[in-house]
Amino acid sequence: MNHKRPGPAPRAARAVCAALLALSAAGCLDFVAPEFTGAGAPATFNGAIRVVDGAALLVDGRLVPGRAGTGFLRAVPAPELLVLDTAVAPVQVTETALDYQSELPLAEAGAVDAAGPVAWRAPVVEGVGEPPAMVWYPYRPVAPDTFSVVAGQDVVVRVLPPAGATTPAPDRTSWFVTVVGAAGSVRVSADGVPPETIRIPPAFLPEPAGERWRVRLQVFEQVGLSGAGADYQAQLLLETRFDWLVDRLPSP
Amino acid sequence: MSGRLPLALAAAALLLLPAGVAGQCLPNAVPEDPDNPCRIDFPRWTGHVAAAGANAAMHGLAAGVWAAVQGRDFSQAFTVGAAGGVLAYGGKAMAGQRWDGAGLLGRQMAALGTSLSRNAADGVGALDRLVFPVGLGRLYVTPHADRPIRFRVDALALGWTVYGIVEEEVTLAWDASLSAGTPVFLTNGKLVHRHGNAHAAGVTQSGVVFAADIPVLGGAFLDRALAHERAHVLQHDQLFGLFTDPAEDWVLRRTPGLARLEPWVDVNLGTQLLQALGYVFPEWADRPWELEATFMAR
Repeated sequence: MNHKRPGPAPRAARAVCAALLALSAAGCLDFVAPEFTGAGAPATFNGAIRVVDGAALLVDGRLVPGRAGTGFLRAVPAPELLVLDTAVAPVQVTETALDYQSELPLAEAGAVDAAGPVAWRAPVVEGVGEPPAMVWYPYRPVAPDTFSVVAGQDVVVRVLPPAGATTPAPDRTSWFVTVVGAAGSVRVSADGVPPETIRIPPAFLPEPAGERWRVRLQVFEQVGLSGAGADYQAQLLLETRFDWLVDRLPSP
Repeated sequence: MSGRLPLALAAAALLLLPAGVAGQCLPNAVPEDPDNPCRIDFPRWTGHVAAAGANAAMHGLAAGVWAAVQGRDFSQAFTVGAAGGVLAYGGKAMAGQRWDGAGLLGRQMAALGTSLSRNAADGVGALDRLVFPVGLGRLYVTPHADRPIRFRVDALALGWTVYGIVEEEVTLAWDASLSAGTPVFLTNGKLVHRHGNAHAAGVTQSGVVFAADIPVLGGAFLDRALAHERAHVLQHDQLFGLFTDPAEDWVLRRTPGLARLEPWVDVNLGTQLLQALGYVFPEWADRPWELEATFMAR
């Protein structure tokens, strides 16, 4: 073994070591609190309830429980929507959202008829108090499913106002009547509550398909809801939809 | 072994340098790169082949080139060195596992591999000098020496450990430290930010781990961060054993006033070497050592 004392290291070698050591000083650590997008934002439910021809109740929507102010995702201890007396379970659950889609026959759902009321309540989300809830009275049809008009006369559809007051009251209401014929359609619409009688003049009507038009009336109501506090908010679209078949009779 | 064979082996190993594989793609603090290789799917075993090949190539070339510089046979040193590299790869793969002690055992396996490679580079017997990292230093086992076992303290690891104890933002995690075979410090709900870098779930400095314990993100987040950092610990050991230790010893022995420390102290500039390499790979997702650690932690 060679015990000869080594000579001094070249200045360059020492400089490289010193430079590498200096990197240690440049590597100081800081500790920073993570920022979670949307921490403390309210839980939200966006969805729709549709009454179709007074027979079926279509329900869909998405619940985003969000993160509490601490950054933790809020738990959903009771994920079911309540519509009438029926619990609607989510069809898909991810880490951040619950999706709902269901069709309830009105008779099975406990409604006496399409006149309502339809009671709705959002799922229970932990830490944000009582969930938003509402009672909806849909619009009601007057005419039967199929009716006739004489050629050259107006097509008249009638709708009755709700049997009660929707609570809370809708923020916005609009309506659409669509008449579909053989080679096209015509649409009449307006914001606000629909009149009880809606007339489509014959000049506007498309040529019927086999002497028959298909007529649809849709009434849309938008409502914004809050739970017990501002930490749980819901936006609902309420749609009442009626479809008629209208036969054109020859002029006398 | 003929002169062409080692070159062919080296070329083959270089072809296996870590390529982007799906297994390396994890959600983390690093923003997604639109050109990231994670856009392409590969079977996971290809990542293991790439990692084993890269480690074999690095160890083999380090041993072979150093042997050749000293006038000894390249091919023999390369072969033994590459075998050590495969052991080091195995150690990293083990360290990425989630069971208790995986880091400690993996670290010793990788240290055995690095020792083999270093011995091949120095032209001594494969088991003549074994270096095992133990807490804040290393155990040098040289069975044929007058003093067969010697402990050297790791100066920078000791410094970072003292820093971790003094720093109020982190706490020494005894169980994680025992499991990893190195001091592990955890934050209390905060991310780690190293000067000049993005926020991170963990940082390894001279083999000492600082990891973000953020309960909001769940236990799996911390487990993955710790596994990732354990892979970095072994990478630092590799760089130290293959490259910086010989240079450090050489300089220490020749520096007046510090020569006496050489038998007792390792400086351990492995982290600094990686930081310097960071200037070559400015993008986090391009850094081979980050790709490997991410893959191993998956």
